[in-house]
Amino acid sequence: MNSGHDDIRELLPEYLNGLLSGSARRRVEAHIEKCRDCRDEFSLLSDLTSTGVPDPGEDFWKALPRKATMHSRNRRRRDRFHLKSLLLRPLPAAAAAAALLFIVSFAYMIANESPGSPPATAPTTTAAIDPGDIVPPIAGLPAGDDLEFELAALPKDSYYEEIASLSAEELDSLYEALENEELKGG
Amino acid sequence: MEDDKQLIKRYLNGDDGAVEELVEKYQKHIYAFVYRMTNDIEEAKDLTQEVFIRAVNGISGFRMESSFKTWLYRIAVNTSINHARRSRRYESGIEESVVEDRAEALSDMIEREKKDLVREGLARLPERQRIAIVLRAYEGLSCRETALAMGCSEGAVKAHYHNGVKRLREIVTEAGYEFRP
Repeated sequence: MNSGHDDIRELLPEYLNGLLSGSARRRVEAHIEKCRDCRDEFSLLSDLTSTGVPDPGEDFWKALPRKATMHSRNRRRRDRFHLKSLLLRPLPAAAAAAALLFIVSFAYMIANESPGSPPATAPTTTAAIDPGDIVPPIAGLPAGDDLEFELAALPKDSYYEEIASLSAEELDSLYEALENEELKGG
Repeated sequence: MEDDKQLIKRYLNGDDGAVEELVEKYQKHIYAFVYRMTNDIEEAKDLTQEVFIRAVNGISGFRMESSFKTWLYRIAVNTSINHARRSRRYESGIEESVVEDRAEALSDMIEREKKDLVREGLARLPERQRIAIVLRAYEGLSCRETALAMGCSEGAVKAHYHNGVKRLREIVTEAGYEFRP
């Protein structure tokens, strides 16, 4: 089998489908005219391709491009949704982290509060005294939870003025004495 | 008509209408190919649809180094091979609607029987030989295009094609038929 023979065989499918240029086509035709082997092969290929493919119908040809387009649109929509999900996903995670941090901080604060330590509101100076913290029963004061009043409106004989005039050291001593009384249940 | 690369660019820029044009352009080629591989109209319709769905899914990854047509045939080849492996129905007979039962001259009948024999022989060829023959002879793809579609070298395509043709010729001559002079 010479190389020219092989070349022609390579060209037979293109010749069969009418894809060859003028000179190549004439070369193939001249060859198969005199070569029985290549003519048989060309005849075989012609037999193979002579039967058509059954037509699935016009509905199929019309529906397929539409289905592909619809699939494409749906895919784009899904992709956009997926992108949104990816973008939004850090938010719940951040919220969960913040909630966890809050719970841990709160638990830490509770754990570090020792039972014998003085309250954070213990007065150190006279200016820091809040009249609401010292609420002895005084005649003439409004009843109930709302004990807002002015010191000037207090009766002259009450010990509020005395307390207000105490120094810081005296107030600390008083506070300690009151606390001891409280511990003893007095 | 716009060329394939322009249509693909349009699609990638968000124009879904470009997909419709690409499908319209190639649906008959792909259907014909998968029909030759399955010999069944319904399977060929389903597989043609599957090929285009897979093409839409993968089009953003198409690098335009080869032609869109070759890329599409490659999807069709893989889809057909996967389908054959799933169903193992390569041995199915020729579609009833193709073989018409009618009164005919003896010479015509002999000719038809020979053609049927050749097509049945094609259906029994090893998968790669069959694909090479279908792409080269039926679809008119060049050796290079067939190699790209099959994912192998041009030398391998030539070997598959020639071995397949040789085997078909043996089938015809062993059955006592002659080729047309």
